[in-house]
Amino acid sequence: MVKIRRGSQKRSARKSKLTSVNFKDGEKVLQSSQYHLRTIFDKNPDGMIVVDNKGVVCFANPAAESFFGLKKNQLLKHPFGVPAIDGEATELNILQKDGKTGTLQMRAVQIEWDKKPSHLILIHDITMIREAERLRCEVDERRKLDQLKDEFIGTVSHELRTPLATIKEFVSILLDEVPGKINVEQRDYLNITRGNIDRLGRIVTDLLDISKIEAKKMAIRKSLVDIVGVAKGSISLFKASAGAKNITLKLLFPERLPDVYADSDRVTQIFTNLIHNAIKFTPSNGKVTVEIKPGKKEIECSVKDNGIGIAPENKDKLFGRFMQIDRSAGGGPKGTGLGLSITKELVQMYGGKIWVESELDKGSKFTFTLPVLNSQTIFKEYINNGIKDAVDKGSAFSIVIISFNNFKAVFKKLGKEPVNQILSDLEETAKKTLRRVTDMVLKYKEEVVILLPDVKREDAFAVGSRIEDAVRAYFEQKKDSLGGVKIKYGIANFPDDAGNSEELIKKARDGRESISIKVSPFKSKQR
Amino acid sequence: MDKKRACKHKYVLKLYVTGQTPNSVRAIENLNKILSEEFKDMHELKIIDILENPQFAMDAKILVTPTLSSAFRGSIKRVVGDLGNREKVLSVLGLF
Repeated sequence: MVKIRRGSQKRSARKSKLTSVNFKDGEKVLQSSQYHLRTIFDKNPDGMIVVDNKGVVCFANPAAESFFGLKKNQLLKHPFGVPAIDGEATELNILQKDGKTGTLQMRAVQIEWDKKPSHLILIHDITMIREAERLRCEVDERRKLDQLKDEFIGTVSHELRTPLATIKEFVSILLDEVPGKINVEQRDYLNITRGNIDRLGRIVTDLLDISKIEAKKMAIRKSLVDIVGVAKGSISLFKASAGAKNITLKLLFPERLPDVYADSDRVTQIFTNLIHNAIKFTPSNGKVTVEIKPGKKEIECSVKDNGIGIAPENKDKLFGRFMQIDRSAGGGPKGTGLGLSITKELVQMYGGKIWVESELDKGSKFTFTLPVLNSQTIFKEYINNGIKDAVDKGSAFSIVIISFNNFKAVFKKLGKEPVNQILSDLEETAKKTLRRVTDMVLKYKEEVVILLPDVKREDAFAVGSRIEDAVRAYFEQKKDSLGGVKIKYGIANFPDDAGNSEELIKKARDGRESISIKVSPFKSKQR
Repeated sequence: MDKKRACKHKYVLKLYVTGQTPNSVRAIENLNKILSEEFKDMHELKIIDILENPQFAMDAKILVTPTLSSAFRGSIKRVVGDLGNREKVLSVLGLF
């Protein structure tokens, strides 16, 4: 019994203790919840105000003060106005200090404040969002206009070319006196006509180029380009016009140059535009020099003349559209003012840079660079583009990989240089067997890779056997020094053998379809 | 509030807007609709563009736009928002 009583006493004591603790806790909870509430109001980045039903402010948090640029005592009792909304959001404007218009999103709910019906107003600054939206609309609008303009130029240029070709054809027939004899005066006039038809044709072509570049529709075809060959070809086009003004046209280039990865037609266009300008703005008996120099990661090509030069203030305008610094200068047929602009776009399209150095009356030097990519980059890009093309056109893409079957043994036996030489020879041999410009051969690490865009599996095997024959012939010639070298090759095709570039390379490397070429064993074994 | 009495005393309404922002345009449209449908010839309306007359807004202590201010028999009432909620506008102005 006693025990029980004691127990119950203890229990009741514990009980009262608990209640007092609870009360203190309650106070604490209340304080802390007040503190929490205060923090929420004070630190809230959105403005919060309470207005009574006459629209007079009776509470404002710091964010609201800073929104309106007013201190608490200025904002309290301020006749803000009653929000004519209920729950839903509405947009308001505010005049900012800088005189610009800000946009606020306001929400309001009816509450009771000091026992009076009031409105709690939440204000969120959406100035930046609205501004961004406005800018995006403007950009969209401009893009649409640009697109329309490009389409228009594209269509017009195309429509102009067809009748132009007909006019030129018939003027040429008249000049050739097919319908009948013409006198000297008539011939003069017809020649002027033909000259201007050519000029108009150039303008139309330039406009088409520009509109294609603008619309980003200019197809970027890339393959390995022998830059010296292209420069030689371009120069040969100007033999007559340079000769007429007795201008010396020279080409300087080093003996060994890496190929650039670009489109030979476009590189020709770059060269011809620059050489054309150089001859045009160089007086009789002048000099035009084309120079090609290898850099670290690029090839630098320059066209230098000793002509009229360019004033410093005009240098920046030079690459702009329809820019002709001095229309009276140069004589001869007038250009379109688009040449250098197109040239710049083309150089940039192939990852290069272009600039000019010039002194008035002394001459100008235009220099452009084209990147020399490492074979790995080219290899990957070419395969990816080939597969992409195949997907787009619903056609195929094949690769052939030639490699050593016994690389380690050959490397150990022959050393680095001869191995490299074999690879270079294999590259050359393979190149000779190919018939299309789009086919490409690359030396890639210890392999020679032949890339065949738009080639089906069975055709790839035909190419493969042609290469095999050529390689056999090569080793037959070199059998004394290269005895024992074993060569294999593999063929893989997209989409028949592989679905992506990695698979394609792996499959070709596996060389399951490979045929080993065994040339007589190593000399060491013969000994 | 009966409308016959109101006829003798005109409501002086001022609508503060900010240029041609969408909510300003909306507020003007909404207000004109309310006025033409609810009480013709019982009001005088002034639209004040605070971009053109910032001082007016400052003097009247206008913080945001659109704000509609109505003065009737010495009592001034203000409504904030695009005035799309007709009942709310009328009730604040004491017309409903």
